Amino acid sequence: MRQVFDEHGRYVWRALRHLGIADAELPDVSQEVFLTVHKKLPEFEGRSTLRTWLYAICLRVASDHRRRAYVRHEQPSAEPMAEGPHPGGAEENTRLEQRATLRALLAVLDSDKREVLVLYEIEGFTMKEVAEIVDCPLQTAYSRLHAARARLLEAFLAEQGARQ
Amino acid sequence: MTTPEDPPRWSEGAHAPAALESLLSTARRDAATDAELAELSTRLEPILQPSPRASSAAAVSKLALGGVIAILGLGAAIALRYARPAARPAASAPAAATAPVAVASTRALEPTPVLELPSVATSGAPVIVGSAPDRVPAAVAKKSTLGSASPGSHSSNTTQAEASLLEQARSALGADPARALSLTQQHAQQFPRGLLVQEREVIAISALRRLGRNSEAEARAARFDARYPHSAHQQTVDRPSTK
Repeated sequence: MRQVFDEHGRYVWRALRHLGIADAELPDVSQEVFLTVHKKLPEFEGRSTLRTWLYAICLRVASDHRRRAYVRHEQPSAEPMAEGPHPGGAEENTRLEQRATLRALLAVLDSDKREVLVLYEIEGFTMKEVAEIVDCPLQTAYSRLHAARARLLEAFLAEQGARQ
Repeated sequence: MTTPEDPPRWSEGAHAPAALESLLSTARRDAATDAELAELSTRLEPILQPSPRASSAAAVSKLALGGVIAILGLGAAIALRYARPAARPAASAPAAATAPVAVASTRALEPTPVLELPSVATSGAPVIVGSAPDRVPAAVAKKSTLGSASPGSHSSNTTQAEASLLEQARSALGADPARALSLTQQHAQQFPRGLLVQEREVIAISALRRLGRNSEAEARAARFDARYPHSAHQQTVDRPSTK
């Protein structure tokens, strides 16, 4: 369990962030992921790699969290678009601004397409692994990626246009 | 890695506006910081380093109880953040003052099981939330790998000290890579079985690269690859461009 955490903890956090978990909730949701991993680890049969198995857990926990937040009428991904200057300086401000911009762009995607795009473009999985993680046929994963890219690009161009 | 059948990634030259790729590039580097990881490690300490006599089920129950409490607090915080008079019951005004109490008491009155974890399956089955007794198989205690954790090797203070030292090293990378390398050596001496060994190696490899000690950097990167072939840090190891 320690090894799993050491190797993947940092990146589970990243994946959850891009799957729509608000920054303030990342510690709790990440904790939930590793509690689930701990409980399920003895059942891991090695039919997939540990990393794909772990990210499948991430997706489930994130999805479940979003659904609970929806039931409670919260807005888990409506976070920090308006942050003041950060003490970390200009570079840190740029990073936070980019984070907020991407968060807003990803929020326009349906969750099934968002998952595929995040896993492929940010987390670096192959499409075969992506299909395994989201549990869909490979061709479906390709279709979702294609649609997600098109929608993200459209939202990005609209956002750029609004800025000008 | 992209397989031959996969479409080119946006990071590998597929057509995407540079500004969009820049956002994604930032996102790829936006993993948990050392401090965030240390905090998470501290939260998970009961399952990462259980006492020898503690069963894993007990550790999970303890953490889950903490998680429920955390969720209550989180719910209160979120209620405060997103409190809107129109969306709240008529009796809840003033919203900000009463929201935390309302959320906490509502949750507290529910017959919440001790374990409130989502079930996880790669089969796409619906998530099922159950109670503790039938969701912690006896095999967990028997097969748990937790017993092999080195007892007492990490306290939260130790983890914080590790994170602090490596943060100094990371900060020194740009202006003084020799100091960054020296700090990683110090980390290796102080924390030979530390929590952040992989992070240390990533920094050390980068420092060697910046010092022009490329053969040493490559040898160290090769050792990293051999030791942690599936590490998510593989993406962050400083390697010569292959493009």
